[in-house]
Amino acid sequence: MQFILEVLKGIWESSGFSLLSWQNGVMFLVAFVFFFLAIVKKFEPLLLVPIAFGMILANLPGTDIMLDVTGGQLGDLSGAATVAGAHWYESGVLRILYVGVKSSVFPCLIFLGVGAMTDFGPLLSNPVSLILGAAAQLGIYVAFIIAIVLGFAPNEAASIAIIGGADGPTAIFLTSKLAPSLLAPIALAAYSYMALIPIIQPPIMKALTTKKEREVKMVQLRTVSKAEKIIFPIVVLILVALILPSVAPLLGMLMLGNLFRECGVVERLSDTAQNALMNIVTIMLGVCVGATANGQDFIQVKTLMIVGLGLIAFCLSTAGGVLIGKFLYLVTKGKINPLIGAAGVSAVPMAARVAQNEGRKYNPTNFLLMHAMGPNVAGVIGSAVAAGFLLIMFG
Amino acid sequence: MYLAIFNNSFGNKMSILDALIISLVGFLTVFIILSILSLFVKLLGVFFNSSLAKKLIKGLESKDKTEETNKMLSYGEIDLINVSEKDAAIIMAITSHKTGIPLNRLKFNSIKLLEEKK
Repeated sequence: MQFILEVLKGIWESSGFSLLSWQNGVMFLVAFVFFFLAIVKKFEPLLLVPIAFGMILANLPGTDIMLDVTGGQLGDLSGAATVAGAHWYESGVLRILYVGVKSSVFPCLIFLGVGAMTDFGPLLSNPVSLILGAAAQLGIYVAFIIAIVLGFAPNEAASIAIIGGADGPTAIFLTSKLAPSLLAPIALAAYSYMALIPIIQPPIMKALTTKKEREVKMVQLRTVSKAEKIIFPIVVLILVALILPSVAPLLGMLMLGNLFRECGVVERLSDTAQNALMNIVTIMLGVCVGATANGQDFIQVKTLMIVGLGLIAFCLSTAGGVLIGKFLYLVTKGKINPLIGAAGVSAVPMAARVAQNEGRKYNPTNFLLMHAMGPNVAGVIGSAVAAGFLLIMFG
Repeated sequence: MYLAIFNNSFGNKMSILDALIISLVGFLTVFIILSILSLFVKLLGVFFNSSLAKKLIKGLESKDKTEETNKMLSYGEIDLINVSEKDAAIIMAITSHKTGIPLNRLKFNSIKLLEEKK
């Protein structure tokens, strides 16, 4: 009998149940909320499903799926000690994949895919979109000031503020260089807010615009020649990278992907960047980002502050875009619908879709999607430029 | 790595005034760079909508079309004996279609009428 009890005790102690803490339970709940939003509400399932699953994996005690035997070389900054005689490949499987996040390889590859999927045509046909994309970076800088006031170090404040760019890859790229210890909450907040755009943006858009402004029907965009589309990515990269060299990895990959798409002679490469590569990297990035949300390290006051600041940054960026949209509405005597300004927060194409849906609510004959895609892709360039500036300041 | 302008001078602390200045400069930087790009895009649009560019593009397109048409033509010279050009063209098209070989890869030496229609 004693033997049986000891065996049962041994099984219990080696099981995850005995090691499970309330923090893990909280993270399970967060994961279930994400699953609900992704599967039932269909909010960016491509992002939320892998992130939520990664969260569950990371919070199953004893699985060592994020174990780092190298003493932090693979990205575990919780102070884990080196395991004597162990090799890097003996680390947890997600910890090894996480190297792609920490080294910024995944964000850059995502940008390659985003570039290959992006049509800069709406931006080229309406250059004022770039101003809307710039305005929608407002939240980054306001959140930076608030973070400094709250006592964060400048490099941490810059990393938190970039959440306002609503661009997951850019947030990861900057944070991995400025404040790697905050990578988990920042990446999670950035991707979560990107996925929650349909919930966060509409009330701000509605509050800042009048019914008359929301009903504005924008005129047909001009046709953009193929030559313009080919010249654009090359010149933008050269111009911006010469001004802010630090932005070259992100912008370079974005523009390379776009050139694949537009030049018309490398269809296989364009197809791979848009589909196979993008899907593979999204899976790995999503699961790894989710797996960084280990309850014990994640549930802290600092994390809650980061999540809160990220939300403020995000809302202010939306407001910045809409306000400049209102200004342009006045300047152009009602030719620009201010709702498209909200799409300047990058998050392609979710933010443009929100502008389209909101526009149609007030004018069912309105079709704002292509008009909103201009500020949307301008926002990607804008947030990359903002990240490049912060990197030069605090890198 | 890069300039690290403020990393050493500020350490872990930064005054609100400094944060304000950096934010202002940062926001202006984004605005200026994107405004320059906007101007560039505008100029690009003006150039490609100009009559000169349209002529150039039209010229290139018609050259492309001519090359494309040439590619569609059959290869080499052909002797037509008692056959009209129209009938010869139909025969060549049918041969190309039935054999599955593109016209530009088929060579016809001659097409000769053997028997007159009655």
